Amino acid sequence: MSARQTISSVALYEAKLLLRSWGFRVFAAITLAFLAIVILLIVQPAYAGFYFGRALSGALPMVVIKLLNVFQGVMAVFLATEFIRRDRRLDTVQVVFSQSFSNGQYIFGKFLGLFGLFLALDLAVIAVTIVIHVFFSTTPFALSAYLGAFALLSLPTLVFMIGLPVFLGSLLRSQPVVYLLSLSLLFLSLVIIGPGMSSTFDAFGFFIPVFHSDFNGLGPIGPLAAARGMYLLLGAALVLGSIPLLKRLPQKAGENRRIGILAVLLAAAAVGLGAGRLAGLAADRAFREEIRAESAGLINNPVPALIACDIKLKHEESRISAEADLILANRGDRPLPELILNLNPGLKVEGIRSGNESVPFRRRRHLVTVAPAAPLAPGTEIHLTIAYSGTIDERYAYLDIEDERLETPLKIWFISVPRRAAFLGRDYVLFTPESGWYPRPGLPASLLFPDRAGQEFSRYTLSVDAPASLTAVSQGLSATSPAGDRNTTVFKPETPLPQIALALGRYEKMTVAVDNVEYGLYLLRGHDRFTDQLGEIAAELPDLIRRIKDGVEVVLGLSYPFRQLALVEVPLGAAAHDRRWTTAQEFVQPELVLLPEMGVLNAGAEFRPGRGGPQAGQRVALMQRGGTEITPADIQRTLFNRFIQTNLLGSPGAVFPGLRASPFGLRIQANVQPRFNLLPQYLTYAEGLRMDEWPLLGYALEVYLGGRANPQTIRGLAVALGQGMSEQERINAFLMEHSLADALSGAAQTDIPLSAVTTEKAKYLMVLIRSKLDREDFDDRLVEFLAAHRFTSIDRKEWEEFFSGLGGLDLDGLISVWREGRGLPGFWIDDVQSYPVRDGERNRYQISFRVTNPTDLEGVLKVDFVTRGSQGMRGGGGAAVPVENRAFLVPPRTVLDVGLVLDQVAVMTTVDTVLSQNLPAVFNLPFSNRRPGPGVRPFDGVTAKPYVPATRGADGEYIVDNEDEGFRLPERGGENWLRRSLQKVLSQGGDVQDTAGLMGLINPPDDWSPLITQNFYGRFIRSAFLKKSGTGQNRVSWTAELEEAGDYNLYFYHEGLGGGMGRSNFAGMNRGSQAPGGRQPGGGAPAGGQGQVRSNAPAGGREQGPRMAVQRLLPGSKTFIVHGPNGPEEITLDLKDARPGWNLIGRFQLPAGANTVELTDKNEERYVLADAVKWLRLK
Amino acid sequence: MGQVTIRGLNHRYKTGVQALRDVNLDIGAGIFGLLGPNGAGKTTMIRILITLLKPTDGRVEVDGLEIGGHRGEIRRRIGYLPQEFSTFSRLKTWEFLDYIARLRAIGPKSRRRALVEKVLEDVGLYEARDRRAMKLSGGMKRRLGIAQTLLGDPDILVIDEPTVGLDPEERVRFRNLLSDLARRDKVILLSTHIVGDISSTCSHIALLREGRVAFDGPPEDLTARARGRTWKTTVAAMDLDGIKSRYSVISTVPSNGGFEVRLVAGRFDDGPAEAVEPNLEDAYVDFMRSTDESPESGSAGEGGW
Ligand SMILES: Nc1ncnc2c1ncn2[C@@H]1O[C@H](COP(=O)(O)OP(=O)(O)OP(=O)(O)O)[C@@H](O)[C@H]1O
Ligand SMILES: [Mg+2]
Repeated sequence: MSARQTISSVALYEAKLLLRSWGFRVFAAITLAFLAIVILLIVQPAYAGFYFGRALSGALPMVVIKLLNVFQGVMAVFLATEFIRRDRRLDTVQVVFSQSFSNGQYIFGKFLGLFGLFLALDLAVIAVTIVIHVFFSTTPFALSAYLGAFALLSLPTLVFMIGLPVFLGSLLRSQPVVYLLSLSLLFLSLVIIGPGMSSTFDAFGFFIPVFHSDFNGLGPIGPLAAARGMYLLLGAALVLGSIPLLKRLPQKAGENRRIGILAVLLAAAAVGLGAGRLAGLAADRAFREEIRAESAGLINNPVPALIACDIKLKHEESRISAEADLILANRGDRPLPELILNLNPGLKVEGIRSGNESVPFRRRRHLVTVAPAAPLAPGTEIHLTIAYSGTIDERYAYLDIEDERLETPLKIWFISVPRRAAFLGRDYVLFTPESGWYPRPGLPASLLFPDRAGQEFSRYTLSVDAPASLTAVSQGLSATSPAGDRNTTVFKPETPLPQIALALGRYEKMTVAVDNVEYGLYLLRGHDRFTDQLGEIAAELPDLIRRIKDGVEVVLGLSYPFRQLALVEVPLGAAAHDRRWTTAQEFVQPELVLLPEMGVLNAGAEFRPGRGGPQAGQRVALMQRGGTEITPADIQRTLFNRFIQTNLLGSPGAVFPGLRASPFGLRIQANVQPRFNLLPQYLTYAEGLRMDEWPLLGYALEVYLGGRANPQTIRGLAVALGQGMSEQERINAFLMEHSLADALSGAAQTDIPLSAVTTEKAKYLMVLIRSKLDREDFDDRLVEFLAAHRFTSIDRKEWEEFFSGLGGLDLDGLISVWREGRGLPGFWIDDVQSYPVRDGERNRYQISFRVTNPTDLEGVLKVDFVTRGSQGMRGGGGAAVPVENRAFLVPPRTVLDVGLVLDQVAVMTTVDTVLSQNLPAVFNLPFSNRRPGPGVRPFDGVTAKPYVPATRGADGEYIVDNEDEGFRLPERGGENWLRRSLQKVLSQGGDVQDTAGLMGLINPPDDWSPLITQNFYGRFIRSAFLKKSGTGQNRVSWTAELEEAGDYNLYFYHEGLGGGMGRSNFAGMNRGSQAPGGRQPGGGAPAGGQGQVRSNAPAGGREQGPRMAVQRLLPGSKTFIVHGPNGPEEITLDLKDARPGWNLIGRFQLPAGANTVELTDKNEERYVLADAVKWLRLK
Repeated sequence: MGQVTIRGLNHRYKTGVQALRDVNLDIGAGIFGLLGPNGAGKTTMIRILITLLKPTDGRVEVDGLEIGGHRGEIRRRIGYLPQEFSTFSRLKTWEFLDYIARLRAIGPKSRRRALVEKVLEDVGLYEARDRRAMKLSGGMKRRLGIAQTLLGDPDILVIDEPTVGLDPEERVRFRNLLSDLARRDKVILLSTHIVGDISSTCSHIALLREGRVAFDGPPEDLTARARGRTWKTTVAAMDLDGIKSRYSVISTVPSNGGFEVRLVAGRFDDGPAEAVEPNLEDAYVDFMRSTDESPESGSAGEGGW
């Protein structure tokens, strides 16, 4: 009989049987329902966090197929047990087995039956997704995204996940063992080893970086096919391998052996693919290491300067051929016999000419060593024409970035996008300088830093010959001339530039010219949903842009240096990394900002008001306030401003945290912190800082001046909400032990991004310089100096002249202390007052506070003020601009009384402790609004006195904070281990509490988790523990060693969140005292100066978030158990009217020695906070 | 046609149990009864015959084909009903038969349909054709098993304990079915320890005991051996236990004041007894009992007192 008939019969009935099993049905139903919910959640614009799903054609297929894959894996476990149960009943199978067919036919039929069924399920899910995608969403649709994801992810997993139970079912008879084995494989692959090792052990394709982009499809298919093909082969091997293992005599002799050999061969091939992938990874690393090693000896070689560079580039499908005309000059004092250039190793140099003479050269990996006929004499120039062609070897980029980081794909939820250093394909090209797409003298910065730093400016032109369907974007305004089906586009930047980049794709180009600058928007054809969303403000766009630009430039003191500013949409996978020598990521190029696909990595790119939910129209009604009608144009203006402010002028931290919370308790956020800040356009790409001796000064300058345009007040708000605290905490912990030099040399191992450490240190350096110089006009002078040196290289001598002009400073000494120093100072700030004063004839405003630095290290403080006059929202919806800021040097063991006199009332005063043990490091000053006594004179300045520590317990006061040793958390149970593991899979592995911050109060953690905000009690670290309310069984405790028996008043520290908070001062900026109350003379200043501080950041729809949040933040009550001599006493305190600060628990007669107070997790509201407890002896 | 030859067949399970010892049998057309107590090795022999089990030693040929080398062919020729037949519980009666019919390469679809309906009628399951297997009674399942062996009209039917759980009416029907088949020149191997099942239909029986063939021949030969050793007597209720302990009692029927007892024995010394004509069951019990007492007594047939 025909094999086909047997196979199809077995397949048919296998499928029938499975289809009729309840396990399968229930599972399929759950799968479909779950996926439908996910799809609807994504498609329905209710959650801003899912914008990526609505914007990217590849997202929905990827999410659905990945989830489907996991479901299939779980189902396979069911299957395995199902088989065994079925096949163990020998008598049923015996009837089947006694029929005439070969074991191979049987197993194959069985496989096909299951495969067919799952395939049908998959296709059904995909079909439903496609229907929703096409008909119920505005997301761009690409069938190839579905097909690609299905073929690469679903299919291999399917074969593998069916092969596995078939195999195990043949091999083992024991249901529990198979169950356990399959489950552990699932777990291993999804949680333990799947994510690492270049996705080699990622059986489900859950982590493997693959994503369909409208720019370049799935990208290079080869490596993906190999990685997934491995599981396809393995699945096939398992299926074949189960044939000889089948508990049935083979139909024909020798059948088993042949099949067995085939199975082993397939398995070997699979292992080969896996090993190949791992080996490839190792080879890539080795290649990069070789380049680094080869370059190491050349770092200090003299290098010619690049005077001009004219590139003619021809795009030939997935290759380029190009000719670069370079003018190189010897600026040194010795002749150069050899000129070293670097060029991507994937590009072959075809020839080098000087004039008409061919010039000999050597090409080795990335180096092109040119030997001109005669050495290049000092002060002379040489003209070289270099012809080259080929492809880009992406391994050449980011040589300074650690391999692991480089290999980590971009992750958004569980979408994993391969990060690419360059794109070179038929439809799309993206070259940034990092790829080394044109020859440049010397070594790239990635190989030079920190030995050499700085850049030079050259004259560039670029001519691109490409198919007419592609539009080129580069530096300089373009002129295009068609020639047949190809176009030649010529770029002639008007200013010298440090580097150029090129994007070539099916772009739609939109431009607006405002005041001599052309603002361009390059979107991939079909991706423009933005002009509609901003249609109402199209006419006023030039005016809006002008206002925003003016706002920035007034604050910064520098003007935009170029004729063009283009926002260019690039593929989502375009790589950009933080660098140690600049704040600019590869996303920001001179004149260009590269925005990943659909603005998915940008905040607010969906241009929807508020927190999703109601449509814009309904929002309008909600936003009506004070009788003023808010028009759609107003909304669009706000959204536009907000987009520009947060993405191009602000920091990502300025995104309101509520937006990031998402269903399933997951945070949807990319694992990269892309930076699109325009600041480098003003500084990095316009100022040439040549400072090999102080390689980080340039970076420090950028960070410092960036802080002017992107004030800490915004960060202050984020910090007040408790965001990003765990990173700050880790940075502090690191700097307590290590110096910057340790960090840079890699001597100290840390998982904190180096850029976070250098950023903090850089800011500190500039504030330190400024406070040492003690010049209020420091910023202005600095900016003047920079403006005077645009597009030229500033060398050390010029810097030293600049500083000596400001009063002189031992910059070298200061920088070396800064590089080598360890440890951090810490501050207590208290006695904060603000009141009007009369200064002669004028009404002015006095702010005063006291800073104590009890540590042995010098520290600096920066204070930013937002005064009433400056409060206006920048261009209608942006951040507050600080008009004034001051820096103070706080010597070790010193108390400073600081007085400041302002012309305007400060509506917000933000203290930045720069680099200190303080957590939060940035906070808003609370005010006690005091009427001054008559005759109070304005005081502007600082008086210092030495700090004398108080002795502990001397005044009968004992404070135990949650940071102290006397505080105890209950033993942690392991019951949430699985949940945590799963969360790890689905979230980005990040610490959820980190960004949750105070928002965590809305959805509190199951277990006591630390939280830091300025509202809590603490010495340098103001923290408390937060937990979801419970039964009262879960308790924390504070224990103090009392020296004397007696009557004590017992207090707890109330943070003042929730209840008493007004909408405007959300996050309780109404704190009484920054210092540990009672420890300092004058501590415990009157609390709750309400209403003075207005955060003006939440504009428009944003306010909705906090207001609703406040209602959910009510503190409820606290239940303490005080262990006195008469046994435990339970005391429940209503917090409704509790004032921030110390609140009385009660009066107790207590014995000497250890005394304990417990707090239970019982509360009728959602959360419980455990902060500090105080014992005060009554005399 | 149809001829099974078994020579020197031995099987030893991995557990060390020697289930078959040097079995030699010739099975031809007609109904061949394989008798033997529990654990005698009947199922083992059958599983070897249908190529589900590889014998440790020995040669089995079906129609001159050595089974080890021609499993495909053998499987095609044999219809098999396992001892504890159960079907896929989620399949309907007709679906199960359809599945087996497909595996027997019965096509096209219309023919398969017709055939399935026919065997369903043959075994009296037509009414239950749309019922799921888990909703069949034990007897119905059994019938379904028998139906399944009939599909594709195999030359050889191997049936392990066929009548367990069948009601008497069905049992008769089954016997008739078998007789019909036997008339069509088929080899029917019937394994059982219920002698009554095969007494009227078998042309040949083999008796297995502890893996050995203890008897091999026509049933009449076996019956003949018990002639003069089968007794009927009447005992008082109080004596019954004693009788039972001393003799192989075949049946006891209560009769006025005592029991009418049928037993097999060389002699009956405990009172008056009437020698009766033995049936196959008497002969089987007598045979097993007597060879039990003299284990050395070699091959069946000529061994006797
Ligand atoms: N799979 C097996 N593994 C080990 N020993 C087995 C196996 N199957 C049967 N046996 C043993 O082999 C011997 C013969 O068993 P078999 O099933 O052939 O007897 P049978 O005559 O069919 O008995 P019954 O009338 O009870 O069905 C028994 O002792 C049994 O315990
Ligand atoms: Mg048996």
